[in-house]
Amino acid sequence: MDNGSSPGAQGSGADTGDKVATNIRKGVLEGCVLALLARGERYGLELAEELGARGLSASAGSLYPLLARMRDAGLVETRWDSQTGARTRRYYAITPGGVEQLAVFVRTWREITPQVETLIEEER
Amino acid sequence: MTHVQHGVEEYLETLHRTLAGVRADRRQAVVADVKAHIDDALESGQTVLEVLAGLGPAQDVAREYLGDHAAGDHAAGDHPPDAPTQAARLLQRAALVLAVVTAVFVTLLLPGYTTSDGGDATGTLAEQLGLGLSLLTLVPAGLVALVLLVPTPRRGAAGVAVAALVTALALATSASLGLFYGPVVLLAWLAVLVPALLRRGLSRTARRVWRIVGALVLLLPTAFTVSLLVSGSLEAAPALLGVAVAVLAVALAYARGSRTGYLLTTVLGAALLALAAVAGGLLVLGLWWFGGLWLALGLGALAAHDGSRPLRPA
Repeated sequence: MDNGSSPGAQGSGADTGDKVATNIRKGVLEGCVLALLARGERYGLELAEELGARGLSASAGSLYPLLARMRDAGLVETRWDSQTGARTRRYYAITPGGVEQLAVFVRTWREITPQVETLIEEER
Repeated sequence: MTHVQHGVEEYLETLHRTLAGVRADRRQAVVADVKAHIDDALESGQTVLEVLAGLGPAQDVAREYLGDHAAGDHAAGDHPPDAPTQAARLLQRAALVLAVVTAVFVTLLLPGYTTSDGGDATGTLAEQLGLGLSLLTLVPAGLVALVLLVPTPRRGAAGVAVAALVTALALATSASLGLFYGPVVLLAWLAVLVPALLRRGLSRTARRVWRIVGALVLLLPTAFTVSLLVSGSLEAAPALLGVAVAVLAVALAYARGSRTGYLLTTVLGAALLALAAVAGGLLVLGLWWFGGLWLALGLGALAAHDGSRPLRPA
């Protein structure tokens, strides 16, 4: 937001490409996190790596602020889980509110993406 | 290893500092999120430099949370009230109920308890003064109710003002009935203090001290009773022993920080208040005070306990 990544601040070439990707990821990251957590709870590093491997998350540093906001909004909850080892892990799990939010995301995504695809096709 | 830890600690401290102004429980949760990530990443074989570089500058993480947070707050108008507000509401409502109960108690149930006129009065306050004048005993309840009518943002200041007023009233009338308002005064102040502490964030040590002191206060009358039994001043009755064992169990649960322990403490406090109301006698003020103290201990801990858990969606 205030870090200069707004769509208005356009650079050129690869720089612009990065910004477009960052902005798009930012818009869908919450939905992607919910979709991953809907399959089962995960700890933060696991979530970051899975999103990273799918090219969906810019950095771990942007994942945690998002997770915190989602927790504040009651979409996810955190709990400490003691492993067989000595240390405990912090797990993130989807809440019923998060499941509802995911359904809204999926519905919206399915409405928007065909429209964007059609628009791009018309441009050609 | 110390150098490694230093880098991580510095990162987390910067994050914590940059999040100043965020509610304490949320701030701690964000720091705990990032700390857990760092610990896991280090365990998976990454170096401190790699992990911290992956996260990006702590200021940016904080700023992103602050940005997201503000946006989120604007987007959703139906946020549940935050935990300190809920704690304040619980304690203020309890103070109101207790203030009404106290008024009923001193007006209708208590047989002429005044130390100022030689104590020769035998009727209740209502019989002595008439029901109209005895409605004055409801003044503290009215004051406490005022706090609940004030809009949430200004409720903190109103809470302090009313707690101070109720304290002054109780002290000014302490020669007669004011002392019976002690428990109300206690709850009115807790309704101000607990939310403030929750906003600041309670350290683990502070919580532990609270629990231990609370358990000791619970045990105090029991220890006194047991000493009377041992010295033979009091005859051992099975019921008395049963109560002592029950209080001991609740005190242990309280010290362990169990929610049930807090709940049972509240129930014990209410039971003691009820006992004072029906039993009367010389010990009435003592029973009333300990009942109020236990009730406040239980409710205060309940409010703080529920307030420090992440909010669950309905």
